[in-house]
Amino acid sequence: MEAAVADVEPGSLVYFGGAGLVRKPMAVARALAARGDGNLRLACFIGGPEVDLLVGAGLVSEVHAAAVGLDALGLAPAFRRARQEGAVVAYDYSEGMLVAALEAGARRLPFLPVAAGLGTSLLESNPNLRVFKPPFGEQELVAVHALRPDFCFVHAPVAEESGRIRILGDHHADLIAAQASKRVVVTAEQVLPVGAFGVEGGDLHRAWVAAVVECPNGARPTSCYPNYEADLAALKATL
Amino acid sequence: MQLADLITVTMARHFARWEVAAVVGPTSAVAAELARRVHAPELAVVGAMTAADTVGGPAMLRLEWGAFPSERHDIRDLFALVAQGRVAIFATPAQVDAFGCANLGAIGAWDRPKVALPGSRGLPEDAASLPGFAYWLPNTRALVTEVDYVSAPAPPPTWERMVLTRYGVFSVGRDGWRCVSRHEGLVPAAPFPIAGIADAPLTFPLSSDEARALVDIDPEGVRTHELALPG
Repeated sequence: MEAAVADVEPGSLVYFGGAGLVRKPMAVARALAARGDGNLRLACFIGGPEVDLLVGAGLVSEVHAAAVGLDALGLAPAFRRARQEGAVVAYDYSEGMLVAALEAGARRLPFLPVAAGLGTSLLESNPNLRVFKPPFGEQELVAVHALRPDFCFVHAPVAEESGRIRILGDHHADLIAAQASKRVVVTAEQVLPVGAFGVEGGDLHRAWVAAVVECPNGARPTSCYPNYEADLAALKATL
Repeated sequence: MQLADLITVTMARHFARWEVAAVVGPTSAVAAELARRVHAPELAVVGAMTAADTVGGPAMLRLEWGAFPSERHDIRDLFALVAQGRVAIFATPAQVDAFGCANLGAIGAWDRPKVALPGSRGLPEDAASLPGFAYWLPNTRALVTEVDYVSAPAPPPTWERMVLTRYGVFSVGRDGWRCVSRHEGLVPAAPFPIAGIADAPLTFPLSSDEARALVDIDPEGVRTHELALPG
């Protein structure tokens, strides 16, 4: 795992896949925390214990997300404390805005427009959002600045050595995040030989994936369908 | 269980008016399944309830292992459905105000909040695109005169937004708040005016079909979880 995170540097924008308590690359987060290099910039669709772990370790300068929390266990305590102390800069996106930012990153566009956000405080809190008058139509729209993470870590139940992966539950924003990112590293419960997926293929084309690391239990204590469910007792013990 | 039953069937009846129900919590999970069983068999369900996959949790909450395994979808599907106004959802913000604005971002200033909340999640696009966007507020302290941070703006001028609380069903729109129905034995209250409380009918009780289906769908009483929170 140390090798998987070796190229992550202070200032890197690092995307974590999954959402909330689902399929979080926790082994990656633990490896980054153990290494101890700070000034990480994190991005995620819905952040969970991986964000809380790294923020709690004092290694994070900014977080781009539609939310950070521990679902049934409530707010993420370290993230909450850091926000309230002004120790971390949070960029508030809606879920659709976060996906638009990644889609723009994937297509190498400077931004993509969304119709949501007008009349909200997100326009003041997040400098990556700007209202503009489009060339077509009358309605003002919100431009969402592209996100192009330096690294994207995704945890999957199964992958091929080729880089193809299968995610059997909700993909959340993992696939578009992988397409937007400069380097994608997949951790997987099980890694199969090239061709094992057959003609049915995977959920993400191998062209997007730079490295695959077999990492059983790599999402614990969050869930990884169908291998294991989120372990609330274990999560509580870390709070 | 009676109040939880009333709230769940009210949600289910709302879901049944739309093509797609978004499940974001335990009550809406039960309500979506109730809507399918009793009112709208073709109702599609999408899940955003990431808390669902928990060891030993009630079957209704274990989404990928339990209630809705066949409703997987791509995230682009979800946001296209939302943009087209085809989804109904009950969101639970931390604050809702006299104008119908909602806050899931921060109590106090964003940069140095008194209480940092999770973040705005899907509220901005839900508010912009979904006539079926509604609030479910188990905590009555969520009602404030003005939110500290706007995650969801007030409803567009021609829309009214449903608000479901432990005291009744309300509607908020251009003309302010109106009581649609009140739950039996309870008196609605808020820090701003609500029209029609005195004349509001009682929330329509469960039909026998709804009552039977609820027991079958949710024998563990998952639908009581959110009401059990302090409020």
